[in-house]
Amino acid sequence: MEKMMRRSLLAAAAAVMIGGGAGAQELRVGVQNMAPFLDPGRDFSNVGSQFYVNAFDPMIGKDHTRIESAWLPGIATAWKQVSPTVMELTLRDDVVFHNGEKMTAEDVVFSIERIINPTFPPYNVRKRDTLPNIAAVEMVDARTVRVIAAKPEPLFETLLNTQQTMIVPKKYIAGLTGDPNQLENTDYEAFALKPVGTGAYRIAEFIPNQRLVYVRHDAYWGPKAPLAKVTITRIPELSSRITALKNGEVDIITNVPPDQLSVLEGDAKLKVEGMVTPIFHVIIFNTQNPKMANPKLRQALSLAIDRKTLNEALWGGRAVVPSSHTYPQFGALYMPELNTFEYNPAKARQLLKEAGYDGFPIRFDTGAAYYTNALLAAQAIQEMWAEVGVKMQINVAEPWTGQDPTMMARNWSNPLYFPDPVGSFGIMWAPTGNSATEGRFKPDAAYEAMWERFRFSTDLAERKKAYAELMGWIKENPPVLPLYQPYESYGLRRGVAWKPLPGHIPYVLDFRAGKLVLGAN
Amino acid sequence: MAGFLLRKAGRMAITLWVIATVVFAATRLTGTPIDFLMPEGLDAASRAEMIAYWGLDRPVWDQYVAYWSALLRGDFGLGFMERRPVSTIFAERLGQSATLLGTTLLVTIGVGVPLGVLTAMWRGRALGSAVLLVAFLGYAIPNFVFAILLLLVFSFLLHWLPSAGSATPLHYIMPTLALSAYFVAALVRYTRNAMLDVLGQDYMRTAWAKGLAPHVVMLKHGLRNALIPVITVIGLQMTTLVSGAVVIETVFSWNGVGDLLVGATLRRDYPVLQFGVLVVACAVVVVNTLVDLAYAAVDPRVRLA
Repeated sequence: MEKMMRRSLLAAAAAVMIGGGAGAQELRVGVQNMAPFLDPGRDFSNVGSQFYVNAFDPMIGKDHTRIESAWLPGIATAWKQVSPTVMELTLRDDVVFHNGEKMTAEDVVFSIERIINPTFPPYNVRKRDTLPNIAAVEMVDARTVRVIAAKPEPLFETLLNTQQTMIVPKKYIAGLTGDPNQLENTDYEAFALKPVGTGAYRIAEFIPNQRLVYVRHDAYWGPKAPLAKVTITRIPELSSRITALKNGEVDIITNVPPDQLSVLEGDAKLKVEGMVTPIFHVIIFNTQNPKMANPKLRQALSLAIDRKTLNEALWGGRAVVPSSHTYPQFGALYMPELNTFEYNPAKARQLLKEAGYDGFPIRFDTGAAYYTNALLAAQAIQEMWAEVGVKMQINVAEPWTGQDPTMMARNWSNPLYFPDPVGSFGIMWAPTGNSATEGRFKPDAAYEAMWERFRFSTDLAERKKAYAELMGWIKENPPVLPLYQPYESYGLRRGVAWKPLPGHIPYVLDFRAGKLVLGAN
Repeated sequence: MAGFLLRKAGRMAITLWVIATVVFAATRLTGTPIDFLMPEGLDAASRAEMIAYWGLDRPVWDQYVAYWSALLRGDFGLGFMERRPVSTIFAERLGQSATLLGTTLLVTIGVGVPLGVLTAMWRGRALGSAVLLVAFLGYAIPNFVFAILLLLVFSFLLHWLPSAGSATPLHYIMPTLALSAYFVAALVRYTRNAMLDVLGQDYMRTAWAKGLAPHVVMLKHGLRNALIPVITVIGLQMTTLVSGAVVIETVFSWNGVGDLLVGATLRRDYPVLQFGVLVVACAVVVVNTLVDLAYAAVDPRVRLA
């Protein structure tokens, strides 16, 4: 009897504790990873990009419900390209930062300036990969700024919509440490721990690698946020995330792999939302390793991989196998017709013969669990390469080996950082991109000329033609092979109407007005 | 007593210096954290700038001297990943980890020792065998398997207990059970064996013959003599307990010290790792000292002078 009473007391207490936390306007999210710091200008990571949209605004907004780019007013109410190299923007005058200070043109100039003329080393990298062509930002008057490019810039809108150009408060940052009128490295570091933006939610609490709490920003210039509070907690273990959702401790969980979907779908109180994500899981080759130098060998390795079978077996057919390095998010530059990558084992065998491949083992580097399904995919590809007579040695190790001269082949991912081929293919394969910088990819003069036409031509048809030529070059001399676009799934409590949106970069958790409804059926 | 504590403190300092030095060297031997701190595709100039920014361009010897001079000033450095004082990072997490270790230790001693005494008294009876059987199970099941079983029953199926985090006392029930099962089982067996050794001694027969009350015989004459090996075992198990907590914190998403140390090891976050190992080493050294003091408390023959 006593035991029974104790048990029911325990159960009642548990129900209070578990069900307690969340009111009608509160959302609790369990994520696989929490960011170590939050600064939209400095961050390029898939973990960090989940969290910026709710708390920060770029100058030019975007309709994220649409897959192709449709620009909307943001911090800027209007913009006009006054010459091929100059964009003029008119700013709102009712923008208030989360700390209560009014946003000025000076903040806008500073936000871009800190990246294009960096004094804090981490911004260097963002200057190189995102804003290499932006030469200056000028304040024309209190409500007008000009962004000036070095070469004619066809991507002004796209670049001024990126996470890296979101607006941050100058005075607040300068005042965080040391001299309140000086911008010191320690100011930027302190900002990344106590971030302040202009977005619909302010960041009320941020414990790096652990927890993030958003609270509605009542002075927001746009539509009011639908939730009073959002608590985001890191729950790194998959089984723990699923248990927390089933147990009613959280309302949404991220990173549910395909083989776990049935666990959630079988529960009447839960549901699953998902999307083909604009990120490629890829295989890259070190073209500068003498063993891998022959383009015919690399072509053969690419042709030997049956990506449709990988999709069926690893992703239940929900992923997308691309024909070229292209996403629907590219809009007019989406070119699936290019057929850059295909499966043809007979041709692979022929090319191996022509390349004189003598059976030497090819080392394939992969982390154990960094990418979903990565190790399984490596093992399947090992079999596929064996089918055409290539020996693969799987080397499981965590460190990045992209700059290692002995690297031969490895897996990687290539996200969409902004919706243009420059913002995905270009980040990694531009003549000054990551791969060339790390020395495993060496474009020739012809490639560089094609790149210049593609990157800076203001004529869309010309850009399209040049990108097709670049893909032709890549087909003949492959440094990369996109395997598939993964299907990312989220588990939700049934009453939560939310889903990932195709107009965002990968993994963004958007809880702004119109993007989420609680208490829905 | 003062002399004992002084000598102990001296030995403790040497131990900590050796540990800190070994950790300092070992972390740097496994490679640079720069690949984890910075994005892929850094050009050589930015890379060099970043390495200098983190202070990793200086010769290892310089870094070592700087580390110690800061340490002696009470400055434990900034974590590479979070760029915050490591003492702050730990302070956020230490409370819940220490509480988990504390509740586990209490359950272990509070349940393990009495059960050990009882099973010794119940030797040859069904009840005693039943307790031993359960203890063997607790000893044999890996803690993470037991933890997942608990989660499955009490969170996933019954929805009685919260599964993730450490916000309320209810959050402590399953992690404490999962972590203490092994140690309770171990302690039951050690205490039982130690008691059985003692029960056959002449002075026990004398105690019974004097007509003392059973609880006086068992506790004052029996348990007190049996406790010496039991205390040794508790001291030795402390390090196992800390490493067990790493696993249990992961299963129950505790964001505790164990989780922090695993992350720091994977990303080669030197300052966090160095501080964390020092904290754990300090804890173990302090517990060992307490064990020495406990010997003296239960055995007057042990002198601390």
